[in-house]
Amino acid sequence: MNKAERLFEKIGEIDDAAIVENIPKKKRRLPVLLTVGGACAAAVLTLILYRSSGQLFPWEGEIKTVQPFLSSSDLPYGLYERLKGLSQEEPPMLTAELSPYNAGMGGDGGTTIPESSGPWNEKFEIEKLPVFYGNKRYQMIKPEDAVQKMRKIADIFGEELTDIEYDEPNPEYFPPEDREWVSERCSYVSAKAGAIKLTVYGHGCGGEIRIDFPAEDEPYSRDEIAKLLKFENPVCEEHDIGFTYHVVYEGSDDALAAILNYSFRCFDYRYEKDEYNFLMLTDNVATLDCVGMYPILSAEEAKNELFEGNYSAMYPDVIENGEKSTAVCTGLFYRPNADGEYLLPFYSFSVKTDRNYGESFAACLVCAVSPQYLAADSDALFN
Amino acid sequence: MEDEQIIELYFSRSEDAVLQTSKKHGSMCRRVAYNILRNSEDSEECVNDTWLKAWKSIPPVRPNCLAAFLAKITRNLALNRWRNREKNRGIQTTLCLEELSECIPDAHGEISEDLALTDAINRFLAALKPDARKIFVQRYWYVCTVKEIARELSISEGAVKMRLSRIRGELKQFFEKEGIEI
Repeated sequence: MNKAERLFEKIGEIDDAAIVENIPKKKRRLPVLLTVGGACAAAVLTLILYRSSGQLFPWEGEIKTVQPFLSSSDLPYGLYERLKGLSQEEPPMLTAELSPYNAGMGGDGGTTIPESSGPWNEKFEIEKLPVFYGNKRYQMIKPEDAVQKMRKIADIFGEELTDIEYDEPNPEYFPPEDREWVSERCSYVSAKAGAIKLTVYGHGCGGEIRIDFPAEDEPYSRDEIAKLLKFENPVCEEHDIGFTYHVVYEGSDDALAAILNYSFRCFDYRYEKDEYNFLMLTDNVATLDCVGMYPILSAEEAKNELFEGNYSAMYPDVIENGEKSTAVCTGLFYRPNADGEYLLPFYSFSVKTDRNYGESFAACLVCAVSPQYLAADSDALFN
Repeated sequence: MEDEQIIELYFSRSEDAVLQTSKKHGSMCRRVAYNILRNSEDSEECVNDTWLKAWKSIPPVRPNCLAAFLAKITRNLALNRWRNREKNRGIQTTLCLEELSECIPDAHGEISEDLALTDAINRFLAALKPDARKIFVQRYWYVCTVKEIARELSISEGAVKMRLSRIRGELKQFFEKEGIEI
C-alpha cells in the first residue's frame, strides 16, 4: 500500500457524523434499470411457471427430501434461493441471477418494481409450493443449555468458562401470547474460554456456535483449533466469498457432535488481513423433509387475509392503524411457522401505518399456504 | 423503520434485520461500492458481503450510527476488491489516489500511527467550512466524480476542481504543521 492509499484508507475512518452529513444526493433512477430488472424477473418467472406446472427441470430428480442451504448469510434471500435446494444436483446456472434484487424480492428492487409486475402477481400465478418439515434453526435456546454447550467446548481447550454474558430478546417485539415463552430464552450467550470467545446464538440460528480466536497467537491458530475439534480434513475446497476465505469441514461422530447434538458443518471464515478469525459451527446440513406440494394463495387473496387480521407482524394492531390502499406485496419468502418446525412460504406486505412511531411502513406476513391446510386460529401452525 | 429498531432485530437474530437494512441502507451502500468499483455486478457482491459482515458483527457490536457503520464496511470491502483487481480498476478511485498524493507531506521522521492520522484528518475536516467539507468528503470518502459534486452544489466543475486543489494544499500544510508522516 503506498502513501496515497494509506491516506485514502484513513479518510475512510473519519467520524460518523461527517460521513452521514455529506451523503451525496440520490441519482435519479433511469427507467431502463427497471426494464432490465423486469426482464430478469421475467426470466426467473418463466422457470418458476415451468416448475409450478408440475414439470421437472432437467436437473431435478424426484422431490422427496431436500437440503435447503440455510446459512445465515442467505437469510435475506427469498423463495428463489430456497428453490435451489430442490435440486440434489448442481444448482442450475440461472440461479446465479435469482437474487432478491433482480427479482424484486428485497432491497431497492423490492420497492421500485411495481406490484403489478412483481413475481407474485396473479398473472404469474404459482399454484403450488413445497412445505418442509424438520427445521430447527429458528428455535430460541435456553441460556442454561447454551452455557452447558460452551462449557463442554471450553473443556476441549482445557480452559475455564468465564465472563458469561446473556442477551435476552425484547419480549415487546413478540406477540403477547409468546412473550412469556420468549422471556425464558436468550438471543445469544457469550463467554470466554481463555483467549477464545465463544458465542451461542439462539433465534434465527438454531444454536449456531461461533468460536472467535486471536488471529496470530499460538496455540490458537485456525489449524490448531481445527485439530483440537477434530476437523483435520477439510472436505470442501477452499474458496473465497468476496474477501472472506471460506473452508468447510464436515462434522463427524466425535465428541463435539455429541456436545452440539446435531449433525453439523463447520464454516471457517478468515477476513483479509486476519482482522479476526472465527469458526462457525452450524447445523444447516440437516436434511429437511419435503412434506409435499401445497396450493398457495394468490397475492390478492393474501391481501384479503391481511385485512381480515390473519397476519403476523413485529407490532400488534398494525392493520387497525394501517391504510389499506398502501398495502403492497413486497415478497414471497420461506419462513418458519409459529412452532418453528415447518418452513412455509409467506407473503410479505408493506403497510403504511401510524402505529408506534408516527407515520411509517410496517412489514406484515401472511402465510401463503391455503388456510384449509393450516390449523384454525393459529399463526401458520400446520394442520 | 428506525435504525435502533433494525439493530434490535440483529440482536434478536431476526432475519428481518438484513432485509430491513437492505431496504433502508441498500441504496446508499450500493452507491458507495459503485463509486469505487464502477461495476454493478462487483458492487452488488460487495454490498451482499456488507450484509454478511454486519450480520456477523451485530451483536456483539452495537453501532452508534448504523448508516455510517454500514457505509464504512462497504467502502473497505470495495476498496479491497478494487486493490485486488488487476484490470478495469475504477478510474475515479485511481484519480482520487493521484490527487491525494498531493497531500502527502515530505518525509522527515517516523510514520504516524493510524489513530493519530485519523484524528488529524477529523480535526482538519472539523475546521473546514461546511461546503468545503462536503466537497472533500464526497470526493475522497464517497469517490463521487467532480461532475456529480458540481451538480449537487450547483457550481461549475472548474470551481469544484479549484476548491479541491485548495483543500488538498491546506491538508498538506496541516499535516506538516502537525508533524504527521504518512
